[in-house]
Amino acid sequence: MNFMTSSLRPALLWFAVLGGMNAAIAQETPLAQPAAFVQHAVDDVLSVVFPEAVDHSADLHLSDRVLPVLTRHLDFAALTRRAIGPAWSRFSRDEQQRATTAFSVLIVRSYATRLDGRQRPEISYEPAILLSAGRWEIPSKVSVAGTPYRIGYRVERSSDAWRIYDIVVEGVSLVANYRAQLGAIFQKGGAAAVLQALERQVTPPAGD
Amino acid sequence: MKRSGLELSVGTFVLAGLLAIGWFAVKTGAGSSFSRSGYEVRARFSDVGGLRAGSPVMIAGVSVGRVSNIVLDEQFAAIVAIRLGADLKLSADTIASIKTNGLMGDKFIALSPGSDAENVPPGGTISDTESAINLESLISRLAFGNVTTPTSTR
Repeated sequence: MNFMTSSLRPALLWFAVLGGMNAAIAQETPLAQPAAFVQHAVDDVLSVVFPEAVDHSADLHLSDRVLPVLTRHLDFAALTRRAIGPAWSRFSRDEQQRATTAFSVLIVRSYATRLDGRQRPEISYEPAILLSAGRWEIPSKVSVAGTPYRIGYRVERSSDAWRIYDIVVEGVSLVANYRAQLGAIFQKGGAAAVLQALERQVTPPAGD
Repeated sequence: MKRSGLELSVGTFVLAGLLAIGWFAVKTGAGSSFSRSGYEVRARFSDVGGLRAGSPVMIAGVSVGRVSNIVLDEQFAAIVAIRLGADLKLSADTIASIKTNGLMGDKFIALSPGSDAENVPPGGTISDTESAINLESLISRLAFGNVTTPTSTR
C-alpha cells in the first residue's frame, strides 16, 4: 500500500509531462544534443497519449500503447538496475530479467490510465545542465490544469543514443524513490521479496 | 589536612570535566577525523536549504563524511564539497539527497549507493542529487494556491 502511494505523485506528474509536449517543438532536431533528444522523446509519447485523430489503436489499453514508445527513449534495464541499487548484483540473471520486465510495466501501467481524459499540459524547457561527463539534466516547467510543476529529465549517452535514466519531479527522484522502497524490501526478504512486490503490482487481481 | 584533600578531589573532578568537554567538542565538531583524511567529491544541488559546512554525510544513518565547503556556481546552483572516509567507495550511480533530522532538525546529506561497476573517483562528481524539499513553499502553495491557476467560475 505504502509502496504505491509514496510514489504516486512523481510518476503521475511525469506522465503528465509526457503527455504535454507542444507539437511545434518537434521540428527536425539533431538528436545529438540531450535537450533535443528529450524534447523529441516527450513529443513522441505525446503523439500516442494525445493523438490528433481519434485512434485508439484497436482499443489497446493506453499503457500498452505507451510502453513500446517509452522503450525507445527510456533505458528500462538501467532504470531497474538503478532503482534496485546495490542489491542488483545479488540477483541472478533470470531475476534481473524478471525485475526489469515487471518494473517497466509497473512504471507505465500504474499511471497511464490517469492520463485518459486529462488536459494537455503546457511545457517550457530550460537550458540543459551538465551533471558529469556524459550526463545531463534537462529541467522543464510543466503546467497541468494551471498548476505548475518542475520536472527534470536526466539523460546519459549509451552506445548508440541518448537515453533517459531518471526523472526528477519537484526535487524527488523517481529512481531514489523506488531505491529506498525496494532496498528496504530486499533487506527483509531478498530478491524473491522484491520480485514478489513488483510482480504483485503488475499482475491483475484474480477475477478481473 | 582533611580540607585540602577535599579541594584536591574537587579540582581533579573539574579538570577531568573540562578535558571531557574539550574532547567531545573536537570529536563532534567540523574538524573531526574526516577533515584531514579521506578524499573529496562534489555534488550539485539547486537548493541546499540550510546545509552548512560541517554538516554530516550519512549512509543508512551511519556517518561516513562531512560537508567541507559550499559555493555557488555561475548558474546559482550550490556546489557542495564532501569529504569522505578513505575506505569508502561510492558507485557512480550513487544518489546524494539533502534530508532533515526530524521535522525541523538540522540538514544532512544522505547517500544512497547504487550498483554501477564504476566508482566516483577522488575529486569526481556525484551526478545524481535530490535537493532539499522546500516545505514552506509546498505549504504555501496548498494554502494560498498559485497565481497561474485559473479561478474557477463554476
